[in-house]
Amino acid sequence: MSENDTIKNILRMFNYGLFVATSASPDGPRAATVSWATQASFEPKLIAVAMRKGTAICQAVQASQRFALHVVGVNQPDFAKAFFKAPLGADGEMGGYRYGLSERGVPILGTAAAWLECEVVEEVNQSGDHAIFIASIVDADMPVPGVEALALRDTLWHYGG
Amino acid sequence: MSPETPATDVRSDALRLLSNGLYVLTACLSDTMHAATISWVSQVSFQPPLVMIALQRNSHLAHTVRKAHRYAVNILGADQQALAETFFAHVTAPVGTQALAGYPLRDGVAHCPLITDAMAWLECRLAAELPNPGDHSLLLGEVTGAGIRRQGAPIVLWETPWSYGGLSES
Repeated sequence: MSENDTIKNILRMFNYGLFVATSASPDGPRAATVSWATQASFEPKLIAVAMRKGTAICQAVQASQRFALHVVGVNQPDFAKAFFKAPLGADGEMGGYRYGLSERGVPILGTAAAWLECEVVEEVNQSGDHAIFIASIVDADMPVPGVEALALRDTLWHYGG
Repeated sequence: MSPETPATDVRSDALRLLSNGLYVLTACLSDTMHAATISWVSQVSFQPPLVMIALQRNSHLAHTVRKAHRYAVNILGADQQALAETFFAHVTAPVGTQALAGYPLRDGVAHCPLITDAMAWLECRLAAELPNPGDHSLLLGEVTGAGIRRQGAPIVLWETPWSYGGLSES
């Protein structure tokens, strides 16, 4: 196994969830499935989410400085899959799922097991191919109490390496 | 790490749905080897391969990594809760010691102590400290070396009695 293959295989051993990120761009709502997310601080409460530079979701977050991160539940792989190809939203629907807008104008997908609405405090990672948004949590809900999150490793998909 | 405690509000519940693993960070600084368990770790770039770790801002571990510039992330298997728990406290030992807290070591290419019981390891070069207004330092590392010793499922924090996430450490 080459060194690069080894690194790839090890990076795929990290634990990730699956999340649907949404944001409002000037041209309408945008959404995409993301995986590289972690908490980054207890006080204040911050998370860090990486999004590939140049994608519609990344540009929407850069423009609005706001996004929502929806947790995909353990029984919702189709919900994650619907946003792999970053469908455009219109008339309250994206990728076949209904959304509403938060008070701050962020699209919220009611199907999600739980969601965090976030405001960007820093964008970093100039050297990498993904932008890292460090964001504070301004609102949250867990429509399905006690829900378990889908782990990337328990699906047929991967994102890492 | 803290024992599981009742969540105080929905933000805590949601934050604990982020699927973190448990990893042992090791580093060597002058004559001392260091090791401690961490959880907030994510890849953040394919090209170049970059990994971000979040360490409590004023911790001994964060200071060590800043000065050492090199560190290893030892990846633990699902059956290695005891190993993870051993390093909840920051462990040190003089360079040349053959083990850390009883776990045997070998020296990595970048001279990080590698825990030989771990499933796999990555050696990283500290590339940058990212600005973070929060209580953790975000350290960006370029992956310079790696090795896999055995295949298997890695440990996932939510399958353990512990949590590290939510509104506070406890």
